[in-house]
Amino acid sequence: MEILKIEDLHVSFGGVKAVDGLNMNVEKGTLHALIGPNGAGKTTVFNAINGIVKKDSGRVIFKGMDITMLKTHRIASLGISRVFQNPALFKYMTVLDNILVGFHSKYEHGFVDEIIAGKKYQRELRRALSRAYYIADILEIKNRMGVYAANLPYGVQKMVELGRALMPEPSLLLLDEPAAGLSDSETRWLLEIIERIRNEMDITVIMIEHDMKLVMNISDVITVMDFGKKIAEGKPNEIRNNPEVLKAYLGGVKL
Amino acid sequence: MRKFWIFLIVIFAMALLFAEDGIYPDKVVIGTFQALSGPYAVIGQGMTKGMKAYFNWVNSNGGVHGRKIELIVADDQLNPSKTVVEVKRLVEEDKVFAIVGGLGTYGCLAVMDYLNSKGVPFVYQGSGSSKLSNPPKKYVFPVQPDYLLEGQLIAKFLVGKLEKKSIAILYMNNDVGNEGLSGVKKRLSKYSMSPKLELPYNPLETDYSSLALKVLNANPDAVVIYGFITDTLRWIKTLKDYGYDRTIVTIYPNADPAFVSLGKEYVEGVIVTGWVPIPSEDNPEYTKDYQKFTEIYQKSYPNEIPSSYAVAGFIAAEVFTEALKKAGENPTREKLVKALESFNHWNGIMAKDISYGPNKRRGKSTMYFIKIESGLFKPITPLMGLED
Amino acid sequence: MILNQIILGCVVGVYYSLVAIGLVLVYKVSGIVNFAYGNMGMMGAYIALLFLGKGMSPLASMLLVIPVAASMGYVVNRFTMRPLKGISHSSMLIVTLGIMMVFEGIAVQIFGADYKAFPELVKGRPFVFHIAGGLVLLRRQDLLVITIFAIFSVFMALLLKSTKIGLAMRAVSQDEQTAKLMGVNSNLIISIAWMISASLSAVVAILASPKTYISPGMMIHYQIEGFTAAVLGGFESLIVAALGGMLLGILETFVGDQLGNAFKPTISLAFIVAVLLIKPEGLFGRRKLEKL
Ligand SMILES: Nc1ncnc2c1ncn2[C@@H]1O[C@H](COP(=O)(O)OP(=O)(O)OP(=O)(O)O)[C@@H](O)[C@H]1O
Ligand SMILES: [Mg+2]
Repeated sequence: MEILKIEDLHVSFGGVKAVDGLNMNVEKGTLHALIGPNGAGKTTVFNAINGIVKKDSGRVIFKGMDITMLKTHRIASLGISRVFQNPALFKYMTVLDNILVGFHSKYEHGFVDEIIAGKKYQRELRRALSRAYYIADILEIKNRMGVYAANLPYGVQKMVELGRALMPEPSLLLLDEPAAGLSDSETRWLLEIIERIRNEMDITVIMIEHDMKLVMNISDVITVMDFGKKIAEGKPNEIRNNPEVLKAYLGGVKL
Repeated sequence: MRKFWIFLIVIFAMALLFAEDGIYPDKVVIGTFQALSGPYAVIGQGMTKGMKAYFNWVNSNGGVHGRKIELIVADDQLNPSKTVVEVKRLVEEDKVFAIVGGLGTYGCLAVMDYLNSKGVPFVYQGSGSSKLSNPPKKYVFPVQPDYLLEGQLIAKFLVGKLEKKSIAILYMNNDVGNEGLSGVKKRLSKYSMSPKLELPYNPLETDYSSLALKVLNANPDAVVIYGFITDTLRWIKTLKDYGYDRTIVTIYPNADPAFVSLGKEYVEGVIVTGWVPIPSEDNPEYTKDYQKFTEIYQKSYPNEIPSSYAVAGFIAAEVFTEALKKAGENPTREKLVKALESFNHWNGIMAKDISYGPNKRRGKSTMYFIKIESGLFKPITPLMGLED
Repeated sequence: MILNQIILGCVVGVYYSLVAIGLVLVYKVSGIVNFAYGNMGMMGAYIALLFLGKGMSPLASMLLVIPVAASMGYVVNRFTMRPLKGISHSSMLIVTLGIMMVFEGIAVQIFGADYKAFPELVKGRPFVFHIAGGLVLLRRQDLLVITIFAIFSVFMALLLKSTKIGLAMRAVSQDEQTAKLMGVNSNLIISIAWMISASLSAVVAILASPKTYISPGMMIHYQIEGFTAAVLGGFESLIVAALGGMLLGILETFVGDQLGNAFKPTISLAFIVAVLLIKPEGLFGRRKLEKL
């Protein structure tokens, strides 16, 4: 059963057709990679799912629900989390506070509870904190919880962002180049985590990634884009030898 | 028949050529500039109502020599740069006969030379600046007493009448305050005295607790406050809260019902100056005048209690109307100036003791002192001048 | 005597601080310097006067105004600021200046331009203390304002530190787009900031009115000083804005006392220019610290 369906999506910026009639189905429980040369329109697809760019036409269906016209924060609350290509942490907040913001849509208490610090508020706060520490434990950032995000090394920032995205127990996680800028050992560590996310947490993952070794290693399905269009889709070994794909990469990268 | 048409056109052309701006067969159009909006709207609105009330009354009684008086009010928000624009428009586009009762020291000063050079009479300024009357300008006729005069009279009253030995002056650091300060000092020097304390302040500031300590340290017999309603009240409250209980004198813009209604028990015993007659048991004729004024005012604004700013506007209208009457059946600006110059201790309903002369433009040179007792204004001196 | 001046300076400055907090709160969350802020409070003061006229106590009138002022903040944001989101800073400045004038015009039209009195919430003679060989006068109302300032500061600190809304506010203030992607309804958060800010302005206006009297222009001085205090703090954080207000109050008091009152505006202005030249991020600006 597919968790996400993209139907004939068109997005353009001025004259640039960033996404040009994309169709894409993502099966529940899979790790779906989205690859393509620079400027192919991959990030724009994510932005369209998140509702932060205007779509010219097409539909986005999430769990059978049309989310094409929904507002960004509503889409997020439905269970779609996002990790950016460049870390977008709240710089002047601690790691813990950053992660807690990720829980925003899961709190069940109201404004009044908060003002009077009622029982429900305290219960919810405990729930949020215990999840924050559970995730921090997995990502091994527990000892950084009190540090301001701006003061973190790049690799850790990416982990914190991942942690923030995992807070609301999303059913779909959008990872935009998670391995970019990471060292080899960090990349291996990330690979492990992504597999745990899919297998243990039961989260469907769509991942944009340029690191082909990583992609070929862990993806269940790969969609290849070029000039805003899907040029190929299939299992890693089908994609590896696809002539269209090889042409798109113009010998740049050996798949 | 053709001759008749030519004749008519010639007459018409001549009429256009020689006709005075603002004078029409059935009306006289005059202008004023007032702060109808902005922080000083309270003054401008009051003054405008006073003028309108009087002109409405004159008009409903047939006008002046058969002409109705039509008043164009320009809103300059008491912003002198706007005043200049508005007054130019009144003179050059609306072609007003005269400007009557403009409000605000800076605005009045900004347009006085322009009006004088254009030969447009400028009767009554809502300002106490002595620069309006000194040096005299042919077309500018101030009515309100100026702060220089008032400062001198205050010093005369405090030293000459109340025999005060040490005086502190708290003054807004603007033209009004500075002129008042120099007035008080001028007269004090006649008694070989100088102020014990001269303290400038910003009228917009909201707390004078720290400055008040300076007054307490100087410990004067009397305090003179050159301020407007709200800042003067802030001063009085602070001084009295600190326990200062001697004489406090302040200026005529504060001789307003709002001063008492806002200041309540704090303004008890405070002395203000006045130039407009105040009704009291001692002056039955003033009571009658005031009733007449209120009656006229309430014809236009039923059930409203006129403010002191309305009184000012009313007086402006009175002085102009009287001059227009005296200027005769076919008024011109020159005739209006001549008429005004013939005022000799002229009394209207609220306008009292106003004089001009060929080279004299200070219309009002006497004032009196009023004490606030049980929430009422009680005159404690007759009209006083600088002489004697 | 120095101690006296500091105490009196704080009494003056606490009003500036409250105004600055309201300005910075909205600025941080929505990026708008709201020049209509003071006049929103002025409208609130007039409405309190209406309640008072209906026979309510001064305290009840003030409390009743809070939801009214909050709604006003909501409406201004919802129907002017939100639709204009994304226009340039200078255009936004003109818009808020315009709203400021509209409020003033409405006040003049509906309530007239004359001064009105609103009673003190706590009556009674002020306390006069003898400290360090000098006198200090403390009005009961000013003490109340200081108390309210303290309570409001603690409230805001707790709100921002540990609540969902507070955390969301900080998130929106730093990166609205990302906050939205975390499921934060940034429009709601911005509305809440406007509502808190407008309520605060109304409370300040009502509490200041025994000194200023209620009139359409009553908040001009506070708007300017609060803005200055916020600039002193670099429009950076609420705490720093509050400190800026206190500092400005103390500075003005000292200049008035030591150098003469005529210098006050010049010196304060010179000080601010100096601060901006030397430390453009504001007097206490430490970029690394929490922003809101
Ligand atoms: N906000 C925007 N405004 C204008 N043009 C944009 C915007 N976002 C993307 N584009 C353009 O759309 C095209 C697709 O960009 P996109 O970022 O989706 O590519 P990408 O596949 O993610 O590339 P990369 O691998 O470099 O991240 C590019 O030509 C880009 O310049
Ligand atoms: Mg990209």
